[in-house]
Amino acid sequence: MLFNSSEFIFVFLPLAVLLHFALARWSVTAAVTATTLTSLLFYAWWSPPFVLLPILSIAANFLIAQAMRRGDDGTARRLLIIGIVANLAVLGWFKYGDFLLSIFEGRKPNTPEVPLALSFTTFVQIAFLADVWRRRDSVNFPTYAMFVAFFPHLIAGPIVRWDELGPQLRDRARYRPDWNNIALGLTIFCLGLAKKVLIADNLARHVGPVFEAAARGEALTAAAAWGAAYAYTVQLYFDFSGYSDMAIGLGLLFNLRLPINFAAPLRATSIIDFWRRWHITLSRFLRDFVYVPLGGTAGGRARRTANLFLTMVLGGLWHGANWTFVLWGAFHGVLLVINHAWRQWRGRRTPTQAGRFAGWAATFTAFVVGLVVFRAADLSAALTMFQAMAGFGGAPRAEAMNVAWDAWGMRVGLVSEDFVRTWLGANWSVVGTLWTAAALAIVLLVPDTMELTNYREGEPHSDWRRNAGALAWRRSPVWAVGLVVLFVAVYANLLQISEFLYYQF
Amino acid sequence: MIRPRTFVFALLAGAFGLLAATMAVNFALDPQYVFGTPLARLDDNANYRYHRVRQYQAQRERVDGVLFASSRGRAFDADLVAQKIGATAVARFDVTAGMITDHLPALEYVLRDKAARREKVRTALLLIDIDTFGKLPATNVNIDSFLPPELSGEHPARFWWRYLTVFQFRMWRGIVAYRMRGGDRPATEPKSSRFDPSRLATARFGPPARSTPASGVVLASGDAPATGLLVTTRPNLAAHLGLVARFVALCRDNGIQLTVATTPMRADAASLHDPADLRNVVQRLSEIVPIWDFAAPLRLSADIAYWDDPSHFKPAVAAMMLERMFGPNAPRDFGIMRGATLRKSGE
Repeated sequence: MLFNSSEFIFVFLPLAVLLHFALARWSVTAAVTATTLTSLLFYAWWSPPFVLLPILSIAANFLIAQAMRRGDDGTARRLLIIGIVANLAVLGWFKYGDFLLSIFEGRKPNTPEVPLALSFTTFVQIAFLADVWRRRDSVNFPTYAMFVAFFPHLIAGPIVRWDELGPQLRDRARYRPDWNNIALGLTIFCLGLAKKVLIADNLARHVGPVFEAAARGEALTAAAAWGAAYAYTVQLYFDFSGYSDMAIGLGLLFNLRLPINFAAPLRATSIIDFWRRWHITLSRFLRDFVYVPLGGTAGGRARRTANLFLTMVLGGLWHGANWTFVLWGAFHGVLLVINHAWRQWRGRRTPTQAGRFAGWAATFTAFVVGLVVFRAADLSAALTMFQAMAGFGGAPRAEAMNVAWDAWGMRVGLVSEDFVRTWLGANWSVVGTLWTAAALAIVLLVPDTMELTNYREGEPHSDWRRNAGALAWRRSPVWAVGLVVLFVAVYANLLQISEFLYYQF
Repeated sequence: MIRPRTFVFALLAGAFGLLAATMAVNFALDPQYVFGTPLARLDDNANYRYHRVRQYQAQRERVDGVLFASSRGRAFDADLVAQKIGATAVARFDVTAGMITDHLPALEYVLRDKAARREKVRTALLLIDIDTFGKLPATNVNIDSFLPPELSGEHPARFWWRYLTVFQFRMWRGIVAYRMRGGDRPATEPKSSRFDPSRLATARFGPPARSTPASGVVLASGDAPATGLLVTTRPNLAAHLGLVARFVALCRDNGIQLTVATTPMRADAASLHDPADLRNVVQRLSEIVPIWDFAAPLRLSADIAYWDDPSHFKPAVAAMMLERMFGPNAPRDFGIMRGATLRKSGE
């Protein structure tokens, strides 16, 4: 089931919330159990047989955690390692088995059928085991099961930690409806839904034809390649941050505060800053469970550089079993290494306004270029895109057209057909360019959901925030009417159901 | 500041009010005829995928022949088809923008249903539109193109929920306008509110081609659109060829006498396509199954007396096609058998 489907919004969600609070009046354990079961139903909607996997995984990790709590230090440490290896083995079996085999067999990897949410739940459970190992706290099975299975974060994060959600789940005061939280939750959910349905999905229709043409090895114009690369960047941001907003909003309906996952990352002025603001919960997981165990900053500059690079390569690989993701991770590893070297060279000097703009432009462009590899079907398609972006696409004047977005503009004389055929080619359009520019303007000029609503749970630092001013959310009639109007616009576009991009990871 | 509870109820009232209103309007106007309560009938927007299954179910005992086609197949008279292909009664699955992605599940459903009833299908006629073959299918894309649960396998509740809750303002407006005019056909037929231009496979930027039938008027070269698009991309060609092969194998395994034919194209519509590309598609199909190629001769394809619009031919053309395939009296320059027969004869 998708958050952006009418059956979720109007049937599943209201029933799940009502059931949770109705049962909580009688018994907190009953509420927790019911919400765990509704979460598993939410998961099973995608593929009923696969629901066994999270059930078994939850049970197995719980047993390991209990054994760790009871055992001495040495036993707990061994169990922790066994637990982490077992979780990674399951992930590896489903996600990377064919990829590894393809390396030995010297062939292209097939697209694996990965159980939904596996990448996210694996990380959630590894972090849980590490937390139990550190604290040796008692764990109650129904609470733990809900912590892992809770449907708002189950499929695509945020990657929650036991030490931030566990205490909330144990707090009995949270099992009474809080109208303030419900009002805020509905607002954040609605804003996230609008990001996904009104912006990301519209951009997807422009991005697809260009990348598909690249996958077929067709020649592209430079404008088409750059246009699609920028459009995909903005699409991915609105898609994934929209999903994360919705997850946070849904959490608030249950009186639970999930951590923020995006802090207006496309406004970042350096790649270091960017990774503190993009997919925050993944970044902190990689920092705590890959970078630090590798040695982190200890061991000198060379060691730190190697650790950083390796962490980003593994972060890339986490997104999928494809060389494109490995390359994307390595690219960001190199960017981070360069950025750290730059900072060391510059010292503590405060950058000028022009310097900050240059930093933003370089960061944003680097991210756009990197995402070409991320989105491309394979390395060959990425190469086709890069050739076109460098002006060596060799695209002839388009005779065949795959998209007709500019048909109206051509008919009424707003844009010349010759211009479109020559400069944009068969797969890109003036309409796509305008959509991308408009979406980019929203990214850069309009306060983000978390700024508008002043939601701050789990943010690592707050110096990214802008004052939302008059736009700041308040429970006013204007906001109520505005949200209803926004929801009507979303609802009018709901039939075009599309999956969230991060469902595939 | 509003009280939090008031704020929440205002939002919920807005959302659920919208849902209730949408469901009520969809049920009352029934734009796709799936509830059986239409205030107005506009055949162009019916979900033919749903209706053709219902029509088959209503006459399933008699049916032993099947016609698969896009909306171009509506020019065929079912009784005449039955007579020509040697069936007692023909079930027609001529669905709007129908492609092999529609026909294969329909055939599978009919075979399942017939097997359960210990009955058989004896003969089938499959019509393929060469201009759209291998392109993005309309199946399950627009609200009027969703396969019924019997064919798609989805839960019926999901199917009905979709038709109850879809927001289709332009469709509603078109139907209301139709009623206000006292039941006249609208000047412009309302299209699905979910039409996606990126999926447009045969776009044309020039002025719309003339569609008013006028007997004896022949399309000159100037009648073709001023600027045409040669559309050659067929992203699903290999997949669709595979589906045709499966369709043919199913017929063979179930003892069904299958006849396959292409539909003729009007000259101006054909001019939007690369002739070599069209020939290639026919060639690829003929490697799977012998196929009647009805690339129309100019005197037929350029005479708009034979056409309802640039895509749809008239019943006279359909009758000629049937006669050419199953009878002795059609002109020999209309319809050529390609494929196994062709290769055997060394042509």
